[in-house]
Amino acid sequence: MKEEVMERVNEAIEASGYDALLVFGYDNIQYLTGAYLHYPQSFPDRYMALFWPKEELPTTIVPHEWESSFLNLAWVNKTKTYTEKPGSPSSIVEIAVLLTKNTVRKTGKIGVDVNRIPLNLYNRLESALEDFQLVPCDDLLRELRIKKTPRELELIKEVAGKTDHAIAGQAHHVLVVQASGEMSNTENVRIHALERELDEVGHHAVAQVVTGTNTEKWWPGAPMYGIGFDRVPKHHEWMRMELVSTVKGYWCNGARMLAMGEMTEEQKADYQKLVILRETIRANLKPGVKASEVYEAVKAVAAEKGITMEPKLTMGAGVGVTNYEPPYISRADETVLEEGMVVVFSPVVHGEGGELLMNKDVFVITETGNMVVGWWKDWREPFICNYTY
Amino acid sequence: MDLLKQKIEAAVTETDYDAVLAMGVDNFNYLTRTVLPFAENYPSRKAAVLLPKEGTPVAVIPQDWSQAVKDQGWQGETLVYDENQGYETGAFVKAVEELIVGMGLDKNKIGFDASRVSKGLMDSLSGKLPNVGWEPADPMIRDLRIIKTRGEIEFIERACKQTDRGIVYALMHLEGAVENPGYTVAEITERIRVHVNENGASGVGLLNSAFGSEGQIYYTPQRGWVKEGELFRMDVSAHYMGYWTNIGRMGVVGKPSPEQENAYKENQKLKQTALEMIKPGVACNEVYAHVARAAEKQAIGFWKEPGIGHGVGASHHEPPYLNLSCSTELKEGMVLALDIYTYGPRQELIHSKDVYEITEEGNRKLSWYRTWDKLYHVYGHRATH
Repeated sequence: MKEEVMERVNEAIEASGYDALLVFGYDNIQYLTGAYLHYPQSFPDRYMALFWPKEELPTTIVPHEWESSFLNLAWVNKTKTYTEKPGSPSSIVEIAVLLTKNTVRKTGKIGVDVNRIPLNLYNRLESALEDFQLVPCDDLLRELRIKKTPRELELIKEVAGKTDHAIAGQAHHVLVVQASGEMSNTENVRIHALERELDEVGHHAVAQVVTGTNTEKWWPGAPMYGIGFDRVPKHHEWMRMELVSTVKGYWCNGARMLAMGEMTEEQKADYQKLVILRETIRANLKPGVKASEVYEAVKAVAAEKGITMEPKLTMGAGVGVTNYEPPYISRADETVLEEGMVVVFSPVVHGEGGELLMNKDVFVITETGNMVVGWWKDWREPFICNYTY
Repeated sequence: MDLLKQKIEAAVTETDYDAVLAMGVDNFNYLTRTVLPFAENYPSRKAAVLLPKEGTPVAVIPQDWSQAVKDQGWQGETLVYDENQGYETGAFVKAVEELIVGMGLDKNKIGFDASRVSKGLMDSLSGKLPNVGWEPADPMIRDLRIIKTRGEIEFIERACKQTDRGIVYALMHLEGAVENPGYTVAEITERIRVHVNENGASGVGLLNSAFGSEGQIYYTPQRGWVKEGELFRMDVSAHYMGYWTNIGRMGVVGKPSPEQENAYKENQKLKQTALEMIKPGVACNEVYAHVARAAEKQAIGFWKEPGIGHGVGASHHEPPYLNLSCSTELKEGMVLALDIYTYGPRQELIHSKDVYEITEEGNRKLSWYRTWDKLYHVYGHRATH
């Protein structure tokens, strides 16, 4: 993947007219260096940066404590460390300025990911680099990240398949009469994820299993997210099984429904809503179509069929080095879909009893349309658990 | 935690701002006294809390996070924005704009957390609200957060106990299972997480088990098998109701060698040296310098650059910082994770990271569940019971 990404980045820098990129977002740095550290985003007072000059090798600026961990995982092997000054970004700015002044001509154009860099850090950088032009490079990074390389697609297919398998692995243990509580089921998802070598670290590498009345909420145990409680599912209830997981820093969002025993007629009708929406997006996801048009198409079918969806959410998003990124299946996203983009379709519909029903399917946009990746089973019907053994 | 609510309200009232808008995940959690579901991992999705000097505070959040905030007892209003109304943070900006205009604050002075909000997001907000006087409120928020209330300290103490118990419970699964059937590093890591949660913690953040040479660096992916004779490190940060601990523990698989034991003793010596200085009135960099001098005098090598500790609270790494650059004077009510790295016989990083509150007289250990004054020995043979 190193070669694929580096080649694309170098071409993009050249084509855009930047003299260098100076990137601060943890997700952007991971994309550009290949180093998946699961924790930088939880250290808001600690900064990392990547300086990537045109036609030269990049350098990562990293706190001393993380340097060796970074080097162990990254394909970028030049680093500079800095001594942290609490509450002040001055140290990292000093290094960034040094690198810039040693590499880029005065008045040179430095692309900065302004949608990630904290304002206080940007202000200090701007004043220290007053002879240079600091310009946003978020669009460049977005364009790079949104179309996956072949190796990225392989990783996404792998993580999608393992995520679905982990959820199904948990589902196989569920029996109506011998059902265990949500905490046990939640942990079972994680265990099956672990068995498939999905990374279990990272604050949000999380599973959640909710049942019955608890399915009426996204996070019924707040703030005990992804832990589960003692509620035991009953016959003919829904069980919603969710897993957010990663392989080598490439993410997937999974969610599947399990019916506690043979479905009632109401449950069949409810599940069919998810199937209809999936078929609708399957027919609309293709190169040349705008993400917003896909959103409108799904919305129109939902309205026509009387399917109540959660109105204020997008219907899905891309995945990659984060689990929520462009393109968005949203009214507001004018992105024209292209081959190599990935979308996790995540509709949320209301069941007869007020449950929030979900099915998350990973679509890869192909030359002619799309393909669903990662299905462990055919999800045109939910997982239906046995009554007893 | 009512005292915290009063403290926050008083601080907002006393500022020069007409309102405070906090957009950092940690600041949101602190000021609303709620925890968002993994929000720091969603760089393009935002939540904010607007605390006006007069009137009811408002949390601006995406739909799927709103119920969670209400369920945690948020007493202010909740504004759920429609993510289809704008690309990425566009919908959030629109909602905040309408809120500020609706509250009649669009020509007023608003403090915000400039160390958390991105340049791009702030440009959008100030572009929509050009007559607002935006001023960084980071020092005010920092000063609020750095001194904990009794209730906050109790939550951190609980998190410490839950975490230590979780680590011990996980180790008990490892004992007797190293040779037969064998144990993976990923499994012990997951065991720690599960048991920390089973003990009541509401979330686990940083999680790392490092065995043998993997322990020479801060973090490596959780791979491979647990092997006899290896020194190992377990690093965990976890929270109880949004209040974090950050703990590091050491063990050895089997009987420790004299070199391993001595290396751990050296670490303990430096820790005791630091504790002599952890008291009100001492500056953080003085504590650091005291340890550095003691290390030099006793010829104990320690990893200087990361410093020797940091605060914990609404995040697992926050001010004050025990390093050469931080001149913050320790005060009663601060909470610190003391974290001195020394080296093992194979250059493994050794630490024994405990959490302390600064008291009137000195300090009090919050992570008291077990002493950890010796390396934890993992031993035993397989037996079913």
